[in-house]
Amino acid sequence: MKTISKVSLITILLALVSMTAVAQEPIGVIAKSSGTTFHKKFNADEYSPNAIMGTQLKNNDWIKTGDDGFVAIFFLDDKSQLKVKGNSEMEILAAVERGKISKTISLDYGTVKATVNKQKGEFRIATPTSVASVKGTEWWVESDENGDIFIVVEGVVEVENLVSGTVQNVGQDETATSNPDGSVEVEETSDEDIPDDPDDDEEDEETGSTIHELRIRMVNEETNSEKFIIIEYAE
Amino acid sequence: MKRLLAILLVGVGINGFALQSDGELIHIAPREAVEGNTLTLDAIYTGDLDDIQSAKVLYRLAGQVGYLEAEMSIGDVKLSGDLPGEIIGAPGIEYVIVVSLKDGGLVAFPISSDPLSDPQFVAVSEPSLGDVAVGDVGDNFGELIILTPDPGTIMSFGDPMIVAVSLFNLDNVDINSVRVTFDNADVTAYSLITTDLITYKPDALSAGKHTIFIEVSNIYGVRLSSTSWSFDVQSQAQQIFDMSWNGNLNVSNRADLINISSANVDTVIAGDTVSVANYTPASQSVTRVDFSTNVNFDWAKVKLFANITSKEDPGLQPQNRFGIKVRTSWLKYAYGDETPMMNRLALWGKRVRGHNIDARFKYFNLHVVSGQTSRAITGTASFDTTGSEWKRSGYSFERGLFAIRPSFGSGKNFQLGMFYVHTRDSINTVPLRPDDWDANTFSEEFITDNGTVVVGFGDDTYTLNGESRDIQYFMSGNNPEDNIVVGSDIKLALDDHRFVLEGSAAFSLYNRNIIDGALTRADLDTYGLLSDSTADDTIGTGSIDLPLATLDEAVSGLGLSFLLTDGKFDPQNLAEYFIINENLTLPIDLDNLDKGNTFKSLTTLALHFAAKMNYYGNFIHVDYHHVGPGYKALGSPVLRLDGKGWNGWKITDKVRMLNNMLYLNLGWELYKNNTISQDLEKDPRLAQNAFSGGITLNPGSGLPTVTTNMKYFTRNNNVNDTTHTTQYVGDDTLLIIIDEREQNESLSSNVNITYMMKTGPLDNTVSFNMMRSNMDNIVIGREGLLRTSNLYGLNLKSDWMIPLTTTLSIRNNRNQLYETTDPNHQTNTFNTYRLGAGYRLFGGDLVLRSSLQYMTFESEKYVEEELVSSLKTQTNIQANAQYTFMPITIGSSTVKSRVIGSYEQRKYVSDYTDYSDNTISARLEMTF
Repeated sequence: MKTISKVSLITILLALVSMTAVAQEPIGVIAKSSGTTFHKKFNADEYSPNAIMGTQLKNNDWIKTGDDGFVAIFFLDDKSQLKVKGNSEMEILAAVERGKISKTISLDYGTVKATVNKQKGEFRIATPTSVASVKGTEWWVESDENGDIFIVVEGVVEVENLVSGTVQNVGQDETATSNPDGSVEVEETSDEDIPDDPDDDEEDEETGSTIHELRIRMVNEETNSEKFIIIEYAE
Repeated sequence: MKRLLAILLVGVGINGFALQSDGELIHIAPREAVEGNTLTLDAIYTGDLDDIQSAKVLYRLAGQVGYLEAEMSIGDVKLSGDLPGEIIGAPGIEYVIVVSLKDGGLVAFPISSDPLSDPQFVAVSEPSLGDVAVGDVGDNFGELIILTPDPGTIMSFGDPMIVAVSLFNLDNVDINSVRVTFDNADVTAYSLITTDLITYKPDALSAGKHTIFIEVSNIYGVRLSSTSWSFDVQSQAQQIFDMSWNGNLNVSNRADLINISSANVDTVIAGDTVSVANYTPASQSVTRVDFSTNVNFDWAKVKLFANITSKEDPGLQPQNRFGIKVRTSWLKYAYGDETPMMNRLALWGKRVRGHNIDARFKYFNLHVVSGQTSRAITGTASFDTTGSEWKRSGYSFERGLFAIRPSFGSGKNFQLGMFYVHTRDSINTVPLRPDDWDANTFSEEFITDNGTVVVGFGDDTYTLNGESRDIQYFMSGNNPEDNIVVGSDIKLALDDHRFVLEGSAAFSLYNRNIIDGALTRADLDTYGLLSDSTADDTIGTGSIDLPLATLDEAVSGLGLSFLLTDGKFDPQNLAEYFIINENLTLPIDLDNLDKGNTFKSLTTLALHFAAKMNYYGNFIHVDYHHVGPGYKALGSPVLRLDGKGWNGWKITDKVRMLNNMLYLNLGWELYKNNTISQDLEKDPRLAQNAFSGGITLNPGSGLPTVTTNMKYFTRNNNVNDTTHTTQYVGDDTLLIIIDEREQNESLSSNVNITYMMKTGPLDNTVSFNMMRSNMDNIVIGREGLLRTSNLYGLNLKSDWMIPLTTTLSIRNNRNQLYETTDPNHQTNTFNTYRLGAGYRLFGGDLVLRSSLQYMTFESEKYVEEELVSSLKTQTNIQANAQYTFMPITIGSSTVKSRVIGSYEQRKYVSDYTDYSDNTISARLEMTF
């Protein structure tokens, strides 16, 4: 009995040691970084300024970007890519097995673009409102306290709203809006909705030029007359 | 997964059984293999293929000790196997084909007593550039993954880059075996190498082709992979001209056939004469073209855009928008229509057609805006016989704007800026008597005792009843204005942007009419400035009595000699910068200044402070504004103004709780006007208080989501007593009581419940919405209802198994003004019923949508002391089709396009009339 306990103990210790070792395996690398960026290692309490190009990323590492920040990450097992735009914060959760990394990006807020190559494991992006999982595609996620927007450029993404449990498949050129009220709406992507890719266009245009028109019909009951208020606004 | 074989066991096995079979292997070895490329080997077994248990290739790089193995497929005729590209490297590979038979026998090639010691050799040549394709993103070379840079990629000169290669999928990597060369120089010692990743950061790269070579072996000494690839760095000259482009083009047309009401017509209906609305059909058509394109160079991004509409009319302000924007790493330049954002107190949200230059350096920035905010419009004219005057109206002066804001600090954590914004109307752009206006342009015809008289614009005299009269010309529309705003702002971000402070302060100078230009030196003394109309060589009276000589000395002392004429200050010299005349809004309130209330006396001062805090799940925003009664910023239409000035606080907090299941919004807002009041009893201040709170509850799957918000609002002008005035009518004396008391409170609330449920094949979303608002007068003696509004709505959205979505909405909205007994009492009740459907065809390429809406409007109010009700209905039918075309590739661009067409009919029915409006629109959208 005593021997069995010792064996068990040793086994558990070995397992723990091996798990620790697994947890510290690199799972990605910072391939590009610009502007105000921060990196927090899995075993650190505070962020370090500057997510430095070439830094190895491990399970439970955090990335944060300021207004002008941008970070591009590659995952080691399949070269899937994640681009993190300004004003974003996320944790990388990775379950490492031989030959594959199951990846979950826990996006607290912000905008990321995922270009996912064919996965052996799983690739998910989880926000406080939704979880989206995918195998082989390219898509954007914008998340804030008002919910999430998933813009699929290529492939199919499965979006689950954590509030309601609603699951929707979002196809190419479709945009899903996952709301804190539990609803998920899918509609065709408008070109204006697609965020600028900082890697293609490092500094975003902040003023658009498309003029929209809003017409409000006003009816005067006294004179039976009507007028339109036309509001033009630029987006 | 490949498996390393135990050399001895395999070797012994083959030796022992190689000759125990009837068949043999026929194989023609390839003459050469290409490094990094898969090598396919074929062989024919002369015996019965059914006897074969398995077939494999044992292979290794020439000179290595151990073998790797690859399975061969057994076809109808031949055996076939692939050697992965990662192992194919110089100088060559060695392999043995081994076939295991079901009877336990082995057959091998080369035919030898010990093939493992005498394997087949194939030379390996280096790959040409064409062997490494640019498009092979993730070029895997088996298990080694090139992360960055991609083979064949073209990089910009000076861009930071890193070489990163993943070894994640390679087993038993010996990191001491890794060799990295960059442009044929061994940089292994400068590379970071782990069992999973190799990274190397080269120094500044020269323009041209660069080659990377990486070699990896395992702990058994077997070379797992050796690969080389190249990428290019553009020269600076190439970068200047290298470009990509994209854009979009939208063309739309909307045609309306609508009925415009004209004067009512008295009509006899059932014996009664009733006033019936008369409608005239009119057609309107609007065509729009929106175009934008981005041309991206490595050093700059250029955007061209144009929004053209058929509504453009020289008699109105510009409707079209166009421009070009150029953006580099440090400069943003735009020419055309822009809405520059400089500071909310000075320039924010005003369209400017002109130049917008924003240069940002590390510690110093400069923002300059110069252009036109409105163009000159000549307007119209009408003749007034009373004063024999042609009166101009509807005109607009050309308004120019110049703004500059130098600032220090990048703005990330700190920035201090100063701004100057000058806006002025150009009085010459709207002449009193335009040259191109004559009697043909405008003329008035009227009948006199002596017949018809025609007065033309431009005439100096006309004859009325035999008497010749001189004609006067007046501008009776908007006056030309002049406005300067100067100020500064600061931003400070602390604690990793969790605590941000922002502040701005600005003074304005405003002249509400500059048509007569600036005062002269003599006018300064006597024109009534600061209540001084006496020629005494001073400005002002009483305690504010500034000798002009002192002013001259001050101007001279400041080095502003260009403002002096013969050593004396002359406002005419200042006119280029600002026009001073009797229409100037005084920047100082003399009463308050007299009494030592310096802050209150600064009537053209505006302040704004904000603090944003993000701690413990709370996002707190504190905001303070002070805007003096005379403050004016023609470049910032978004700034709230009050003729008496105002200041106010706004505090909001957004809280996220219970793992995002509960959101809480809290807010308080205080608004007070009349900032220069010295006696709150005699000159009270209007005060508005608003408390708001909101909760959103998302309890989770299967339960409804509830959102509720409430706002309590009070308004009190702090006038507590009535006043009266006496009026004499004949022998009677009337006492007229003036009651200006205003004190009311309102409470508004709304509840929204959303529930998702599945009924059979349908996914339904049901939402119920209720909004209630109530405003009561609480002035003593006048208590009662001022306004109430109740809205109830129910929506059902259903997604069917087929690509069909339907919506059903029912809504009731009832508003009431005043109590039923009040003569101004009125109720309006709207009921709306709507049914809509959308269907997707051809995989979503074609989307059809339609809806039917029926609305009733019932009104009740007093007419001649009798409560009268009326009923009107409106029926809308709307259909919409959208088709997305297959993308077309033209050159390197992919053109996506879709067309959208829609039709809507709105039918109106009331007591005595009915008519229909129709709208047809079409839109083509293209991106490239």
